[in-house]
Amino acid sequence: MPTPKQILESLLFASDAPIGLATLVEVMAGPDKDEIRTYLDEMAIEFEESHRGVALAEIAGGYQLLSRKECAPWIEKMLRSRRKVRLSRAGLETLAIVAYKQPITKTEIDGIRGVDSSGSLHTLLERNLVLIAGRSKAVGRPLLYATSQEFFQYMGINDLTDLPELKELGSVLEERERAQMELADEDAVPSVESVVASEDADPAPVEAGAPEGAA
Amino acid sequence: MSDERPDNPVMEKPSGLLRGGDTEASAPARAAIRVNLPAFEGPLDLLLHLIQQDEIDITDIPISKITRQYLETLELMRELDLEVAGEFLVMAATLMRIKARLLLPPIIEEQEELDPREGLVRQLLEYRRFKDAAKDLERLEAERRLLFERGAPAQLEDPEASELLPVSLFRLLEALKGALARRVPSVIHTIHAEPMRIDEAMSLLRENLKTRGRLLFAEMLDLFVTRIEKITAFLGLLELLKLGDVRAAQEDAFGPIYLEIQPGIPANEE
Repeated sequence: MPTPKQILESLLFASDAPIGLATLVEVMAGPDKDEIRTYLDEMAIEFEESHRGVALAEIAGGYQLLSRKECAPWIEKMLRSRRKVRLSRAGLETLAIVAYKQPITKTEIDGIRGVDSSGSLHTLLERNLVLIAGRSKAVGRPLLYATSQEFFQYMGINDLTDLPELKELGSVLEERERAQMELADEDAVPSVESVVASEDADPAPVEAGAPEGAA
Repeated sequence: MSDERPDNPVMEKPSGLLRGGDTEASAPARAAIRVNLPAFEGPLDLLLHLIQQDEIDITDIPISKITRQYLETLELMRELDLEVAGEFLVMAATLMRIKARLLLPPIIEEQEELDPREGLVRQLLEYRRFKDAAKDLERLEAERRLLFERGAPAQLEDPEASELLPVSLFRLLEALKGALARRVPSVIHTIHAEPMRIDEAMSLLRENLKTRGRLLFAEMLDLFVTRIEKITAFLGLLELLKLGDVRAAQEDAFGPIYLEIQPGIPANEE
């Protein structure tokens, strides 16, 4: 009879995508969530302490075995690095705006960047980093963009709270901004920015991650 | 607003309304731009670049100087035949409008004395936040790219080999058609044809691919002489593709088709 950790390791080995805790609970059909989490935490330390070539990563809301970053040169040599191309600057800018302000319309993105972002958005959609979370209630019912699960995978983070904090606007303007916010309350679109950037906001992730609204 | 054409970058000297230090930096700034013109993501990006280059306080932009540098850069972009997107021109107009507003005495009817630069400053600050955030994402992206998950096909590829795309059956058929359409040098002396069987064709193909690694589809067909043999070979090839022993690929949509033996196929015959 294999130990729970052995089973967990075999499951992680057999999967090429992060496995969620819920799936692990269901498959293991024995230990509960907390026990499994404890096993996984211990395993992560064991991998680390025994100087293995792989590490147990918590990524995109799940667990996955990933190679050690120090080993990257050899893997790249073996694979001849046939990897997806990196995002362009325009792509990264657009993605950053979507990530911090989701759900957001294209017009709002264009407004911040000062240029048309159609091309970048298209690329991001194509690469599944961004999805359409629904439609805004504003005139014309424009599409709302949000980041996908794939985005977390791609960036190697677990959820939106793992994003680096967005820098504050200049303190001079901060005050005015607050005053304006009070005046213009019509902006009903909830912003993730508040979740990520400020501690006092409710840390519950906005429904942006839910892919159900793919209209 | 038609008289504010950005075509004419020559504006008057910086006015007294603006902070000093405008004049002396323009020459080296211009030289710097000429040496190295980075690609700008848009007018805000360009403005930020100009501001950072001169280490200007973003909340107190010397509009006259920045406008001049901005227009000079646009001019340079045009000289370099870079496409100057419409947004750049809109920003040029905005800058000149702000400059004009600063030159005029404050209008009484305006409720409060807002700095005409305020809207632009706010936009710049907001853009800069996300530009920085994009750098954060870039760093995350770079870190993540050092971590590999399972599932990558582990085969040492020829570094010179270009990426080959899988070929559809349709393309294969077309290639066959093309090959058959080419005139086969007529066989001069008659031989009594010994009909080739598909499995024989398969074996011949497999062995040839094994020794040569990769064959062009056309080269493959050349191994077979008569029309019926070529067709037999084609059927054999389809079978090999189905079995996964052989891979068909091409460099681009209409490029030549390559056939490759898949690694790890044991030689099942002598």
